[in-house]
Amino acid sequence: MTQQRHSTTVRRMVTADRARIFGAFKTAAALEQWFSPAPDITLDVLQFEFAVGGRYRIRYAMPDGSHPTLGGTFDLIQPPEKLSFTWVWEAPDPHADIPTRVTIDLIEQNNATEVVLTHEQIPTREIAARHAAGWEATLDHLQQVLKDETDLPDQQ
Amino acid sequence: MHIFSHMAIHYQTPLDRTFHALGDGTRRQIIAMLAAEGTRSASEICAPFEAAQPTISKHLKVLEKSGLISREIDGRTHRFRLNAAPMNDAIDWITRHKTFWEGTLSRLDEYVQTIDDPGAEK
Repeated sequence: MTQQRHSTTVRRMVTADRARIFGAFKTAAALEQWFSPAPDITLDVLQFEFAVGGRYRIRYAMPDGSHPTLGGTFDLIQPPEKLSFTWVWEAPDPHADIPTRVTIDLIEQNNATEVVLTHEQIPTREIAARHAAGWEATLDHLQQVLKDETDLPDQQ
Repeated sequence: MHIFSHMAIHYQTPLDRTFHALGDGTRRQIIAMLAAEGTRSASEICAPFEAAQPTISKHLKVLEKSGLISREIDGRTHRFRLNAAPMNDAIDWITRHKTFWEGTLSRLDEYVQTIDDPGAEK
């Protein structure tokens, strides 16, 4: 049982069209208006690059004076229906450095939009696969370097 | 087909495994027994059941996979005990994040109602 993974899904019907809801995620200024679980928890968007591969970083200000901070990368931006980004709390949060992903699906219903948000821990195998890809590239490069080195003397 | 059914099991979340493990009367009885009496050997667990030892062994494996019980091997004796940690850990994570997102989506709802909608008919 070393591979513990958790996930949770939250759904909510919002009476607005998808484009308007998607717009609420698109800029730091918009996010700062609402992206916290309660009005007395405010946030500063420290970094925000709304593009695939772009980074974001958010620092909350809790009523007790603490500042939970997190960041991640946008993996998928598909307006106006889908958005997916990694979500990693920073120390000293109890869930610090655990790679997770948030995916938001906006589903059209009659005159409203169902917002389906899934938050899941990223499977270890997926991280392993990403690292493996990195290692493969490194090994390819190494192989190429070795090949070039051995090719030269051989040809002389 | 074999591989797929294997994969399906492999891709289950811990909570899926927990609920699957708890979805059987015999397994719930085993858990109740371990909760009441602490550590028990495989044969002590088998004793009150009509079922054959291999059947109980299978149930113990499912429970073990879910992390609800853990096994200690002492020579030829296998001892089992209840292990609440994986469940608590899962519940902790889920509760925290669910609360976070329920609050946040409710604020999203309020926010989109306040912003100007150029396309809206007033």
